[in-house]
Amino acid sequence: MKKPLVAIIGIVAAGLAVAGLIWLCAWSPQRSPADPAVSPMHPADPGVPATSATGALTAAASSSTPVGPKLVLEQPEYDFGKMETNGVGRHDFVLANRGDRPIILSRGKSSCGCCMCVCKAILPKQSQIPPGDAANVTLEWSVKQYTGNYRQTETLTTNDPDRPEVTLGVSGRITPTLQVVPTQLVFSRVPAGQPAVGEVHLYGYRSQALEILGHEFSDPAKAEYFTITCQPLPADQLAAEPDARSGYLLRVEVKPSLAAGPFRQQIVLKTNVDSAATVEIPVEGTVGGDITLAGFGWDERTGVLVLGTVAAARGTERRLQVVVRGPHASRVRLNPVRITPDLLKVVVGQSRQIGASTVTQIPLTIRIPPGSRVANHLGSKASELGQIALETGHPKQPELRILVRFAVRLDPPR
Amino acid sequence: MFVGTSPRYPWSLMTAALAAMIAAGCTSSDSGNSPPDEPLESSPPARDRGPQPKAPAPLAVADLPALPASEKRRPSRRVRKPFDPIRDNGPIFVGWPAPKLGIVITGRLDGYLEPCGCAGLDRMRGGLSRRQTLIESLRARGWPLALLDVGGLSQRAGPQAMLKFRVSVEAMTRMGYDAIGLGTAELRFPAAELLTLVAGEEAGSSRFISANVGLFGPAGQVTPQKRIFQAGGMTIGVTSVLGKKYQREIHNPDVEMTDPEAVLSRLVGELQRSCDLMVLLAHATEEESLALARRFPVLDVVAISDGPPVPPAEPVRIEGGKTLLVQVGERVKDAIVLGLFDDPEQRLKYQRVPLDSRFAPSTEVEARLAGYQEEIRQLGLDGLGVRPMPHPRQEALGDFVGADKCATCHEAPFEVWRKSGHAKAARTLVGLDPPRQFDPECIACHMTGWHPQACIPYESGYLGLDVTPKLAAVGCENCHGPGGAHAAAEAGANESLKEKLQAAMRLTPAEAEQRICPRCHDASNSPDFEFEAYWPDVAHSADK
Repeated sequence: MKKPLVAIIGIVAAGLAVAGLIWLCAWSPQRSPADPAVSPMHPADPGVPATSATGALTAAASSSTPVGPKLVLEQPEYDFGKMETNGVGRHDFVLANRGDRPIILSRGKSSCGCCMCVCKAILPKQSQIPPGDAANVTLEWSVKQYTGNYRQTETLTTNDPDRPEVTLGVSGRITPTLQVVPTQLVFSRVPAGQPAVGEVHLYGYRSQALEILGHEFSDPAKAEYFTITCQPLPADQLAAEPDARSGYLLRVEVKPSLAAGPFRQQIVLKTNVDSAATVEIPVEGTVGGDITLAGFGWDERTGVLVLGTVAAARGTERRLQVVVRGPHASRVRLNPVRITPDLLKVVVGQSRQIGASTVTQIPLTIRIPPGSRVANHLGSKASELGQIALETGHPKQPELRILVRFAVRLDPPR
Repeated sequence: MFVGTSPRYPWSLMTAALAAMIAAGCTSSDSGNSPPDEPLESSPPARDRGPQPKAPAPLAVADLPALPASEKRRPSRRVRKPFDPIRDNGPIFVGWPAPKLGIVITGRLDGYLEPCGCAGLDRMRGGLSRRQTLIESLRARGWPLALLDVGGLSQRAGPQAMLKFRVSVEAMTRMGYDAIGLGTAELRFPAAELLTLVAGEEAGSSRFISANVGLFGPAGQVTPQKRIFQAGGMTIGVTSVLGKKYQREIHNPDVEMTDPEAVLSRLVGELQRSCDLMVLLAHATEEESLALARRFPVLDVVAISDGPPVPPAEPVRIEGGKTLLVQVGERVKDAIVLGLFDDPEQRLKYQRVPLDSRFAPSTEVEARLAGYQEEIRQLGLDGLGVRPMPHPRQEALGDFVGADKCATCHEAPFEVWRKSGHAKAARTLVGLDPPRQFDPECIACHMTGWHPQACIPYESGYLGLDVTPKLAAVGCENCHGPGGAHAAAEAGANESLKEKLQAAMRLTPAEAEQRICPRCHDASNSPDFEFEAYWPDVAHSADK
């Protein structure tokens, strides 16, 4: 039994030895091109020869010892300086082949993973660089709606065992044609009866100086409550904005006569910039007194709290905060005096001073208990809604009134 | 014997065998260093949720323009190969053993609760749902985590922005965020509202922190200036600042802001005394953040809100120092994960994690987002503070009248429109799960008579499927302007008025490309948009 086994092993071993010998003879010149020890043409200095991109090179090709494809890239990074938003940039990267076999290129990963930019590599003809030659790989990039520092890379895969991947990068700064900072003007709270002023900076980035040719309001009926003044930006403020070459300071004043509640307006500026002939600046905010109610579903303008449709079996609870400012803040106490319908329940929490300030907050919970009867107070008129009135003790705002839009149904809400 | 017949064959065979052995070895080796959870590297789920089409609701759709029975779907304008998140966005956590601490850093959500872009774009990244899945996956692998956010959860002002902020905070609280900075947009909310959103149940319990911003007084009294907590056996100290330049954008008398550098001079020293790792969340410009990082070189990590839309793939260190800079990109399309290891050769690893469809949707977050749409429906446009405003050309052009009115004269252009995506825009919203026809941010570009960026209706614009069914589409008037005056003039005998209004309604392709189309087909919502490719779908002449 052992003899046949020994014979088989012997035959296999002999076969392997012969195969190995043949393989060594046939393939030793090309073995392990990645191994520097057998790659005498491995360039010590990977510089790109000073020939044209498509011109012939005289490097490795004359060697008698094959080295395979050898990719040389002198400048993998390109700084384009500045570019305008919506612009398109192109740059040719020169890739040379110092080996004796063609370099085969293919596209790899792109860093361009966002929708703001497109970046793509255009490969040379047949995606190949012949031995001793060089070729351009063109990177083309476009940037939409983005400003600031920009860097994108495209990775190519190659058959050069020393450089299976090569990364090309472009970087620079994307500047807008015109920029508005901030893009919207929000007056978070304008104390009732007092003016408020907000500022907007407009920056122009082209050599042609930015000019504001005029303005109008989207809601002319309320234009009288706003005053706009416009003046060129002082040099120090202009210098603070990188790349800006001209600019304006827009001052928007909300007049004290504007009624309490939220407001919204749009300023439409006309400029001398072709691509931004009109610029819209939303202006919004709230004029309020000393007592403010806050929380989900509360609309300060209408004074309506939306609870929506409530399942009778589950009920609902809404937690609000009453914030009180001003000299009377510490004396304000909330006391429910009218609640209709009576299935609405109101719980007034402990008044608490906020830090060391003169502002106090009072938690206010409005509930519809589980098991409440069916009701419908979803109407559009105030008289159809639920109503909660609280005495405050404040001399100027003696009552806080909350209209409640809700319905209670037996079936659960959709 | 076969060797002699083909010398290449054994080479190929041996190479293949060797490759197979290496591959097997790598697989085995990798399994030890495998990604932390299967969803991270598995094939994308068959159907990435988010807004998904569903069967149309019969009642709501009844009044919408009918589709031609014979209509066939047009071929895609740009043929793209099917999206594969791992192939296209790359694998993650390759070669990572379990770290002793993972730090997940995000920021600048900008109100994008769902993946950046409109429905159906599975290649878009981001969304609270995928973020939750990432965090759950890491936790499932036993990684101790610290979760930090630079702030900037909101983008707009008004009730809907506050509602979105509330949803974001709820979701991030459930995720277990340890510290969240305060960004510019949220600080524009009325302070009383902000108080209900960011203050914790008890004093000092808020997850929001800011070293130099205070509500109703100095920093630290509603939200803490810093947080110190234990994670992965380490004491982590985190603080946050709002940059000086961004402070100028806030006009809120109830918000107190101070110089960030001055506050940090004191706070960093306090953190240094008790913390193993110090992190600054800088909601500031890149320049100002870098200046702060250089000014306080003892900080281990400075996370920056400003910078490119996509975070760098590789970590960046402050020159000559130890501080690692982390830029978060925008809309949380990516999360940055830092891994801390005991390995003296490499104590820290950095991974940009694309929040793409490799992460299955989180049922919990999806349910909350459906609830958000329901809240929008219940509040209605009025409850959301969305009130119509005058159209800038209302005086000259009159009211919106709907595409059907246009069809009475402009039959051929109407036919082009009827077959276009514009005519189906309302149906798209109704057909999503959950439906979006109540969401002003969706209505603005899917219905007639809204300001596309401000997300506000013009007076006589669309208000609801039941109220203004004839405006339930992207109608002719979204490009040409309200047609009421023009239609009325055509019915009269005043020839000069007719000509004047006809001229006012005209629109050239160049004007459309320049100032009309980009209002909705912007980089976020229509990333593939190219005017030349899209224009043939809607091209029509002014003739009847």
